[in-house]
Amino acid sequence: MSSNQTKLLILLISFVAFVNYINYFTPDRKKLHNTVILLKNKIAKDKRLNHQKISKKRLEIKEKKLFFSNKKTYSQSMGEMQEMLQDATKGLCTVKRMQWSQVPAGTKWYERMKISLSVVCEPKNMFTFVNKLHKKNKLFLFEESKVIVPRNEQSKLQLNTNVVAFRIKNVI
Amino acid sequence: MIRYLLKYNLLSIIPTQKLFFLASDVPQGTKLSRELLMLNYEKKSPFKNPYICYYQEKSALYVWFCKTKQFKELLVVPENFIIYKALQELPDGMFLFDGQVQLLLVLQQKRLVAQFVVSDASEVVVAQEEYNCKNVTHLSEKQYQDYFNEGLQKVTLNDLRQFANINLSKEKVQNFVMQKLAYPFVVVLAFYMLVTYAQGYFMQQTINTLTQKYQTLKKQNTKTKEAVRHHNQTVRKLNSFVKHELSNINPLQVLYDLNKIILPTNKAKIIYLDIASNLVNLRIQTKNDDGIKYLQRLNKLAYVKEVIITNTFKRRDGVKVFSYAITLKKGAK
Repeated sequence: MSSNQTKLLILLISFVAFVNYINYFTPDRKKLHNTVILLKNKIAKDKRLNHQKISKKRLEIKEKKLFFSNKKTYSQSMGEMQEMLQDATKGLCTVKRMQWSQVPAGTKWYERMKISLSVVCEPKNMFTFVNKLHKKNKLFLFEESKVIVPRNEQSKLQLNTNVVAFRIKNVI
Repeated sequence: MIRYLLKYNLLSIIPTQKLFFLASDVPQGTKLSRELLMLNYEKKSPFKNPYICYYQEKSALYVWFCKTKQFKELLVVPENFIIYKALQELPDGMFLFDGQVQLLLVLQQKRLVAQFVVSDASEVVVAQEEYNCKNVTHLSEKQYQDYFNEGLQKVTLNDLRQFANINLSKEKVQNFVMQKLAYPFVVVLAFYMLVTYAQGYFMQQTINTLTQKYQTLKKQNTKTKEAVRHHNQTVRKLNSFVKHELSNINPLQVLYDLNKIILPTNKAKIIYLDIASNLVNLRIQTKNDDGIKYLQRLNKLAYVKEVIITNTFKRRDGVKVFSYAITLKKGAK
């Protein structure tokens, strides 16, 4: 075997080894590099989070108090809401009608508690009543409201509305 | 540049005495090779198996034969070609350089026609008669050296390209690759494999360390992360709640604003107000004909989209009643 042939054989073996290395053994350095960067970013993020020491108080959502709690049943909550409405109207308006609406259906995390209300009061007292209701620390909305002047009491206003409050059904 | 080529033994200049010169014509643009010239001009050479170097300039072809068969250098340039480059710009004529050997160059129409090494004046006369040239310029040995240096500066890369002494036969290339490149190539391949594998290995080690570190931190932060995730989820739900439930205007706000618009005039009175979703029906009574004035004021409310007067009539007691339909903007609070 001549010198050239020996060298050619070595070259061929090297080529075969190289091709096999490229195809099966070569590490994907780009992928590894990206993984290193990703891990470094994740670690930096977690380190920041670790140093921040977020307290439970900081994550507390005060707005949740605006809802009626799910610790009580729907009926108990409705009763509580009715008491609040009666308390707000006390000495200000005459309650003509107060009627619970049907139990709402739905799969949301909250329930709409609706009471149909009709009150007659002085215009100024009407606002006082609403303000008093809002001070109850619960969220009350007025829907489909109608304000009319009653025939027998011209100086007063009659407010027919649906008062809506919200009850948390499941844990948020 | 030529000096560097000479310094590093890449260029060889063949002395005039060792050369036999031949000038010829070829059609312009003809592609020539040393093999082709050998085939056509070898019989005109006084040497057996000579080394040929040639220079093609438009339709002129200059061929030099040399007794030496092979040169190691990459570029082989005849000495009198360099002199010719220096004399090219001078008027036509015969140039006789004195020295140990007298060199005679004949230039006609800016072309090198002949080159001789002459021993006595009679040969110059013969040349004069042959080329019909009376103008003979005698130049000293020093001038020869000056022209030689000038010629070296005038030789361009393109000129040198034609004097390249490269013979790329298949066997030669194969031999060269095998002899010179086989082992370095194998070494390069092995080195590449080693480096890339080592790089991958160390990167994997780093990843393992980082993963371990990340897992520890992750474990420490699990509760906080869970709390933050829950917090974000709650905020998202509350935002959705606000968007869905609190988009309609508060009816008491409407009542309050209407009160501000209508009552201060003390001339009008609200007799009916119906607020359902985004539609407000309003009826007022007034003794004056100022329904349009109220329409303009109502239109100025920020949350009002549109106001139209739906009905107007006059009662028997002279009081006028205006009915308005007010459309509120969606999402107004």
